[in-house]
Amino acid sequence: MSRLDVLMPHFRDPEGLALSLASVAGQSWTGDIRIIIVDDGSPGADFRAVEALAAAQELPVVLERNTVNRGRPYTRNRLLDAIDSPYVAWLDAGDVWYPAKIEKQFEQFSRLRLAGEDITRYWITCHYDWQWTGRKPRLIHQDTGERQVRELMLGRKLRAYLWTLLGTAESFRAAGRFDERLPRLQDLDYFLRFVLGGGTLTVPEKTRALCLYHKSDLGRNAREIRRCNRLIRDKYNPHLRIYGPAFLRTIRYNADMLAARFAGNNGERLKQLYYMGSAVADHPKRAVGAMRHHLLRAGK
Amino acid sequence: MPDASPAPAVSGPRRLKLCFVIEKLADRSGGAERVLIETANALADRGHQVELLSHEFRGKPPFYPLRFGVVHTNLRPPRVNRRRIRRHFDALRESLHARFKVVPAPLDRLLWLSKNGGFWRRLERHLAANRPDAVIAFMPPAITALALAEPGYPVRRLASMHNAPEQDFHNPARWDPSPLDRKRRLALMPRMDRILVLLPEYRDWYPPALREKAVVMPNAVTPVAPRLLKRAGRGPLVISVGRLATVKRHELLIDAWARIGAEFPDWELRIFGTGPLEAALKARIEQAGLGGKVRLMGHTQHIMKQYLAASLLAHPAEFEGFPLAVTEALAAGLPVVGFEDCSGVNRLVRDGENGLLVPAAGDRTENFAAALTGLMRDETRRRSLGAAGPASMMDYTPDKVIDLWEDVLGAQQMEAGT
Repeated sequence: MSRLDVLMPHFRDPEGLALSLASVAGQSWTGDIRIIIVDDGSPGADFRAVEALAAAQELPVVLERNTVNRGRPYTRNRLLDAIDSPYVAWLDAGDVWYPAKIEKQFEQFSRLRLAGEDITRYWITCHYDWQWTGRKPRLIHQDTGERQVRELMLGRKLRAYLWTLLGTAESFRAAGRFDERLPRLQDLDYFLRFVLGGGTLTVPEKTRALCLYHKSDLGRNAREIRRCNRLIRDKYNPHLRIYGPAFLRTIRYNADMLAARFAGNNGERLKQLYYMGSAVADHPKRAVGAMRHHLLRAGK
Repeated sequence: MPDASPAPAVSGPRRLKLCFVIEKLADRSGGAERVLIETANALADRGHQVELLSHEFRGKPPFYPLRFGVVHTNLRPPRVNRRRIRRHFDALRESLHARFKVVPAPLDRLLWLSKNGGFWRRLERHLAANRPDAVIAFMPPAITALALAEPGYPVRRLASMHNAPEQDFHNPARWDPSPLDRKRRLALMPRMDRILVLLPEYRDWYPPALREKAVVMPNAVTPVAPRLLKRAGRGPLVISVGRLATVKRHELLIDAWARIGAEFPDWELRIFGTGPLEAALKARIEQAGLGGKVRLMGHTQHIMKQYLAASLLAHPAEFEGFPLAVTEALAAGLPVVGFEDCSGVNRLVRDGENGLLVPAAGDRTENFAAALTGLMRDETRRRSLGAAGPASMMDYTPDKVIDLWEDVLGAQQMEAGT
């Protein structure tokens, strides 16, 4: 029987954790699941709620705790250290797997094995529903074609979200550690290293969304996301440069526009204008195109 | 039943983030490149996060396979994405580098900067962004770049030397021929935290202040399975393995064979390797009328098969660091014949125990031919020398060498908790 460790970081969201745990318990896959939760220094009441949730699970749960809040990358590194099963999946507190997720992803592993592939070199991602607070879910397709480094950086066809993944323990160890200097986008950094180290992302065949991501920009720090984006560009600059100057301008533009979106959603208008101005300077042609697109949509 | 447990204490060697730096790696099948990749792979197998950095225009992957998870990064921007004016400027610079190898001061500083500034600056930026725990530079161009890089945090710097020190620091025919570069190579060594040398005598070469930093780090030699050694079917075959370059002195070997070949009509000499002297050596073989008995075999992926089929390894090189061909032959139970004054060879080959060290005095070709003749006539002696080879390499097993690497890199400091 296959064994799977489900790695769950948690900080101050017992309600979200309860939703996520219920979705793990509801999986149609029949192998042995062990849940590992690392709480990142939540206050006493929240942690007690997490303890109660862990105790109430039918599946085996290992609960660990950072004595102080150390950030998500550190917490994820602790989760990596706790891996004991041959297969690993991730789930952030608050996000939800649909019942067939793990089963479909294991089926994809079987297909790869039958095709003679070394499955340690694959991470199985999946399509997912993107749920903005107060809106209807939107299906997001993961397109795992070629040039995965480029696509991950552009973030349109392929996005770096750990909770979509199933992989072998060996593959996650080979990808190294989470960079503790990246409070945001550490997933992207980790995915890039996996692909550059010889790994490939793939999706189960003929499936629709296999999980649900609750998305909100509220409280997200615009300056922090911009700094993290900059650090990732610096870390992988030699690999990104090969796609040419236009690509580099585009990813700088995207990073500035993302920071502008965060600032806007947080009501920081001056910051938003500054980041938008910076985006226009990065890639004026793209900015004009985007503006024209918005005007046309508004006109309709 | 739920099992809510407290955090377990994690202990063991620290998992390090490591960068290996070498100037050129694309499609290179040399000994140092092989050692670099084998070491990087072995450290990745032990759980360290490893990246290989090179700085070259060729966009090809490394010749030797990388372990899954080891990332290769070429720091040099591809020519194709540069603006036309920049490409013209680069072409001009490169033609100047090729034309003016040595220029008078102060122009030498400008030329040196034009040649080396890009590597050092790009390495500095990459290290600042990635912050590895330790950086290991292989061979002088990379060591110089690492010594000059200021990544803005206290990185552990290691210089991995792969030749006799006088060759790396004083021989104008090796590396950049400019006197300024040679001077800087040695002047920058105090910036290294550790200098890894292949043999104890290389450590003694350094001045006292640097000697303290020098650590003997031999190349790893993979033992050959005893069942393979037992099955080895050794025929009338002498092999030589190495790049076809002046330093390996293949021409001396061909001349020696021309003197003894008639006495051993059943024997054959096969020379494995490629290099700049290929055409010249081919002509020499034809000229000596040795076609069919002395053959240039080119590169092979299955050299171990040859070590197990041959009766002798002839290695007349002028100097070596820690010659892989010699160590592999000894591990495969093949007696080695080399010169007594060849660095590296004279440490690994124990005269009369696992091979023969040929006197340097007098006519080298004659001496080498005599040593080969003696062994080709005496099968019992060849067997006895060959039998001692594998045991003489046991100090260099991969496990022992990688333990030493972890020790030098600081991975053996035990880590409590996370």
